[in-house]
Order: sequence, then C-alpha cells, then structure tokens
Amino acid sequence: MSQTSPLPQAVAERIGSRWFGRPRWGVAAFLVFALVVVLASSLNTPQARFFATERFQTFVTIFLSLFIEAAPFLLAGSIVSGIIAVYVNQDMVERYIPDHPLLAALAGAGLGFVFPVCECGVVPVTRRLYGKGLPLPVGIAFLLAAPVINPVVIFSTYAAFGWGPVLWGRVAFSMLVAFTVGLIFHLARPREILLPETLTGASSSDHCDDHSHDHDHDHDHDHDHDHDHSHDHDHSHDHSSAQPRVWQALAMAGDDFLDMGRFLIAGALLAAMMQTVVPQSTLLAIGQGPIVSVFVMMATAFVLSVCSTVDAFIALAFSGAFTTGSLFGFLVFGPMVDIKSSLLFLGVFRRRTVLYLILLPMALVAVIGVFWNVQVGV
Amino acid sequence: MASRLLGLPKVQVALKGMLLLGLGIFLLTRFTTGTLNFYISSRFDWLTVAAIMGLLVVAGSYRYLLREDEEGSAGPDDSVAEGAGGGGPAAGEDDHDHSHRLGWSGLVLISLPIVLGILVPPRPLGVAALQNREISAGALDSVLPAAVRSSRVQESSERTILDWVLAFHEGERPAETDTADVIGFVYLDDASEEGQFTLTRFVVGCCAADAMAVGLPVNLAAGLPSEEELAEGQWVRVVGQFTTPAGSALPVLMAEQLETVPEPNQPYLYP
Repeated sequence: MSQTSPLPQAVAERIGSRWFGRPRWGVAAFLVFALVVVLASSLNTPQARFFATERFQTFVTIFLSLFIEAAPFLLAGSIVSGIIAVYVNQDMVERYIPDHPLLAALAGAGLGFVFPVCECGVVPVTRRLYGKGLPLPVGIAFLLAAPVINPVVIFSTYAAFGWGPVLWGRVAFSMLVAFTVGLIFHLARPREILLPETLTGASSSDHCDDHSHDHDHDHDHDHDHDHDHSHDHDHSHDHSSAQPRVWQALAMAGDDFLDMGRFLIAGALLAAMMQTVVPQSTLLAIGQGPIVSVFVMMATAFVLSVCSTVDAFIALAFSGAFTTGSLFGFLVFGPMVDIKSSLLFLGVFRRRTVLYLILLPMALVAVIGVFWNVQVGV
Repeated sequence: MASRLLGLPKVQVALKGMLLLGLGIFLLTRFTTGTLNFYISSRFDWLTVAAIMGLLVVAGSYRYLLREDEEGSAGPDDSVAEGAGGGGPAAGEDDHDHSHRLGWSGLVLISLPIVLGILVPPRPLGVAALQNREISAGALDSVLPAAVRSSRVQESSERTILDWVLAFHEGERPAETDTADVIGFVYLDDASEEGQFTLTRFVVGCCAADAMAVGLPVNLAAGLPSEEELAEGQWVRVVGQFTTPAGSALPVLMAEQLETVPEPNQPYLYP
C-alpha cells in the first residue's frame, strides 16, 4: 500500500500487541466492581435498601431490554457477515469498490443502502469486509453512516419529524461526517488501525506476521496468500464435501455473534447502569445555550445508547426544549457512537482507533450543531 | 488447566453451540411466558421470534463442526496446530491471535443475560425507574411523538393515559360528559397535593431503555382509599371525570371508582 503512516509504526505495534487487545477480565471485573460500588453506596437505611433492590431490578430490565432488542439485529449482521465470508471473495470487493479515496469514502457512506444494517449489525459486516480487503476509508465511512443512511432509519425520522431540516440535515450531516472521518483514515495504515484478527485474510500485499494464526475454521490458508484470491477464504473444512457451505456460513455467523455479543453485552451493561444511576434530568438541566445544548444532547445520545431506528422518536421528546442544532447532536452523533457501539468497535479496531472514532465524529458534529444554532438558528 | 480445557477445539465448538442454544432458549422462555413485552415493544416481537429461530439454526450449525472434527479428525496442520496454539501454556498471549476463541470472560459475558434472566424474576419498569427519568407524569408539557397522534382513540372511555395526555397537550379540554376509564400504577409524587396521586404508565417506542413516563393527576373522592393506603407501584383502574381546578392549567381526574387490578400483560403503552 502506498499509504503513509502518521504514527510511528513500531510504537503502534508494540502498544497494540500489549494493551490493545480485547477486553477480558479487566473490563468484566471493572463493570462488576462499579456496579457493586454504586449499589453499596446507597444502602444506608432499610428504605434505601428497598430502593436499591428496586433499582437493581430496573437495571436488569433495561439491560435485558437492550440486549433483547439488539440481539436480532446483531444476529442478522453476523449472518450477513458469515455469508460474505463464504460467498464473497476479495476480487469482488476490489472490483466494486472504487480506488480513489474521495470516491471510496463516498461509496462507504452510501453503502448502507446496499446493506441496510443498524449500529449493531454494521460492526460484524464491516469487520468481515475488512478481512476481505476493504479499504480503510470505505469501512469507516460505512460504519459511521450506515446506522442512519438506510431506508428504515430515514423512514422513522420522517415519521417523527416529517419533511424538514431535521430529516435532511440528519441525512446530509451523517454522510458528511462519515465521509470526512473516512477520508482522514485514508492516511493511516490498516495494520495500525485494525486489530490483527480483523485483518486476517487481507490482501497479500498487506500481509504481516500478525496473522500467522487464523481463527478456528480458517487456519490452513495462512501460508498460501499468493495463490488465486478466490480461494483465499475457503473454509478449512472444505476438504470434506459433507458440509454444505451454508453451514460454514452459519457457523461463522455464530462465531461473529458470540464475538460481537460480548461487546454488545458489556455495552448494554454500561448503558443500563448509566440509565439507572444518572438522572436524565441532570443532563438536560445543565445547559440550554446554543453551544452547551449540543454537547448535552450528544452526551445524552451516548449514554442512552438507543437503537438508531427509534432514536428519532426520543429526539422528538426533546425537540420542544432543545435547539435544532442540539437535535443534530443527538441524531447524527448518537447512531455513530454510543456506549454500546464504541464497545463493539473494540472488536474491530485497536483501542487508540476507537478513541479517534469517538472523538472525530464528536468534534465534527459539535461544530455542525453549534454552527447551525448560531448561524441558521431554526 | 482450566484455560487449556477451554482451548480445546472440540470444547470451543461445543461451548459456542451451547451458548447460542442457551440464548435462543432464554429468549424463547421470555416469549412463551409472555414476559417479552416487559422488555420490548410488541411491535418488535417478530424480530425476537426470528432471532430465536436464527439462534437455534446457527447453534445447530456447530453440530456439523463437531461431527467433522470426529470424522475428519484431523487435518494434521489443522486441529493439531490449533490445539497447540489455543491450549498451550502461553494461552494469554494467544488470545490475540484467535479472534474467535471464546475465553472465560467471553463465556461469563455471553451467559450474563441468561444468568441474570434466571436469577432476577422478570418485572416491567416500575416506580424505581421513575426516580431518575424525565418524568412527564403530571407535567404535560413534554412533547410526544407526532406519529402517536394519528393512532389516538377518540372514544373517551377507551382512551389510555397516553391518549388523554396527548389530547390535553394539544389543547383539547375534556367535555363534561367525558368519562375516563384508565389503568396505570400509583406514583406518589412529592409535589402532589393531599388526596392526590399520579396515575402513571410507561410509553415504550422500541425497548424499555427508551421508556418515557406519562401520567394523569388523580384526585381521590371521599369514600375511596386515601393515597396513603395505596401502595406505590400498585396497579389500579380509575373511573371518573375530569375537572380543571381554578388556577391550574391542567385537568385533574376526579376518581369515582378505584379498584386494584393485577399488572397487565402489556405493562407499557406504545405510541
């Protein structure tokens, strides 16, 4: 690849291999610890104890509701990912995805119409496409835009707000932010951005030692990256014709679901905890100004972690009290990045990249929202 | 030792299959016991049904892998290399190479919905959830989805709390003859006056995470149990007519009948 690297490669690699793995006991222990502290801190009187159990009940209900609501979408995304793994080869990706960075980022931002997936389903699909050699900008733009740029979400936004600045602003700004962030990542190298296991199976020119091992079902191809790409991703169980390819696709879907499910569940835990502990009115009471309100609504979207298919209706509940610019903060930033999806990102990208993926859209959306409030002011 | 056991390819395949099966069965129990709508809007029930079927099918696909492992036993560079990598003493390092390897933390996290679902009896959101929510109970100036308006029931006795709240929000004022017959749970608002409570329900667009509370202030007539006798969170059916007290912009429901009712199967209202 002819891309130049903004990061010292050796450093990124060292840090990556050490600390930027996937959350394991650390995160799990942290979650449990935080939960215990929060619950224990309010156990002074019998009445407080009663409310603590009630709150725990609320926490469990919200956690399970987030999980039950998101699971079908994640499963659908995983199945699409499994089908891509088995039926799509690298040639197809290279043929249909434009080379030019501008076009590539634009294609990524519009890809949501081809794969109508929401913020949970988009992650396994993107990860799989990266494994098939999808260029970085395309995947990033797809990841950020797809939760909004798809028929279902556009329709639900229309249902809530009708034709108007909120609808087209949401679509246009989502495209813009996704396109811009995708373009920025054009400067980076995949191996500095993606987890090694995401890259496995990437094109041979990108091949690095990181993928000397592949996952359970895929590992007898590590050494033959030079042969015809159409065989590059064959399943290791191919040698037996007894197993139809559809079963391979499904088993890989299962792997993906469990892989991503961990992040979904961790994210749902966190979001449910925040919802149980942080009063909504606190956030909303903080700020109403043209600038502060944008950040408050972005923070609200991040904390609530509701699915992009319904967040328009939630935003409507705020529309009376909040500026249009801050609604963009909620409707554009929320689907791109929230607690749930940033944890899902950890399954695809190195941790530093996830930070960029949170901060870059945040900065861009904040600029858009504040600009709208100050200059347009509708 | 334990991580070695977990690293065995066959154990991995079996565990993954079992976890997916377990999640599918967990969702199925929520569906069959009718508690699914404690969590999500009934509009999305079909998604859960699809997910149950999907999970069962995907879980079933692992049986193929298991059988393959037994029959083929072996691409020499296959399971051997895997066994050495996954189960070796340096398993901690290897975790990063095997993206799909299920570790202990993954196992715990994935089974958490099942474990919590079994340990904590299913209950819909209640009074505790009101404590830190934007409460539009009583205060009707919260805006609710526009899509709601079209679906509103006009027959006064069939209107839900949400229908009334929306109607009032739009400026409609109840006629003398309008009789409300509504079900909700009791919420004792700190701000409410004596002999008054807020009849509350949650409105859920998608899942309980996006629940909003709506409520009607209810005045208890003489002869009815006072609000102190009503347990907070108790589901009640209230029949009565609205009056708009002087100095107040919002109508208050004057309860003529009040009876406790069991929690409805569909605890939430849908816009």
